[in-house]
Amino acid sequence: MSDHASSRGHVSTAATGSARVLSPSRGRRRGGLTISLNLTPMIDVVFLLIFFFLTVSRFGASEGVLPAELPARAAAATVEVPRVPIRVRFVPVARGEPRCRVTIDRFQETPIPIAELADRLTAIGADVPGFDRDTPVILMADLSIAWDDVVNAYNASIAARYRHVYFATDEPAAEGGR
Amino acid sequence: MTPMIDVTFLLLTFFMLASHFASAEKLDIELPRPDRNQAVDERFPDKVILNVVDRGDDAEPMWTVGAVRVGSLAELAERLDRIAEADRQVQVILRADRRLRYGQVRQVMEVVADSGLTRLQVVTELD
Repeated sequence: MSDHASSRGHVSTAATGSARVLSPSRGRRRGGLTISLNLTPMIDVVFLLIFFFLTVSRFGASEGVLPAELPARAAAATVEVPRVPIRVRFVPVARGEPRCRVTIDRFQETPIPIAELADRLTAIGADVPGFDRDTPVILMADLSIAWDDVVNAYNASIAARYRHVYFATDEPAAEGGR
Repeated sequence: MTPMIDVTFLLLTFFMLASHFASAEKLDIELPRPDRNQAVDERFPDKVILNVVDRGDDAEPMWTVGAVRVGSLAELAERLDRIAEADRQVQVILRADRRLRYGQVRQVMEVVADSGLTRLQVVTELD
């Protein structure tokens, strides 16, 4: 009976013929042999997984979508608005202000921050006779207004639970939207 | 050995939980960040991703359909026409840079509508 140690530390026992890993300092002694688990393949796999996640992942904020519906042939179309709408107008950003302000025709002539638009629209829908969640909201944005502000106002209209929100320009051309 | 394995598994767990998978179709864009965001994290099986990338006030934005860059709005219209011919119910995922002007995004929306695609999803950053 002779134990033959390979270059990678494996030995064969005459009794079982199976390969064992010798570990002189750790492991459990059984019948004169020290047995321990070979962790190298597991570590290889784990490092591969880490490498995979490192390379294919992207850190930062996640994304969400706000649904909208476009009229077919927007360039030529002018959407018929069935009721008296709520028109939201954008006041270009003043120096030092990060975001532009908005007014609401007939209801809010003094410009307010877009952050307050949802509450104002909610109040109009709840308190003003003839206006409710089915009243169309038209976002009248000049073409030079920041996209961020337009999306913010669109989001505020959705937050106020209005079902029909339209993108429009100050020119009477096309109206698209939700 | 044990501490190293512990740390390695911790790293693995962190990367699995904290990362989103990158997609070549989604360019690195500063997305709009609305207050009280109503956007939802939704997946669409049939979709086309439009990226509109800001290149400064004096330059036209860069447009891509998925990962493919298009050189002009006419070319964009051509591509969207082909997509619409195949399926008009495709969701158009509009990823536009928050620094763009409304007019620059609106012209893309008009091209989309002209192609006959009507289902639009405006992408924002989630909180």
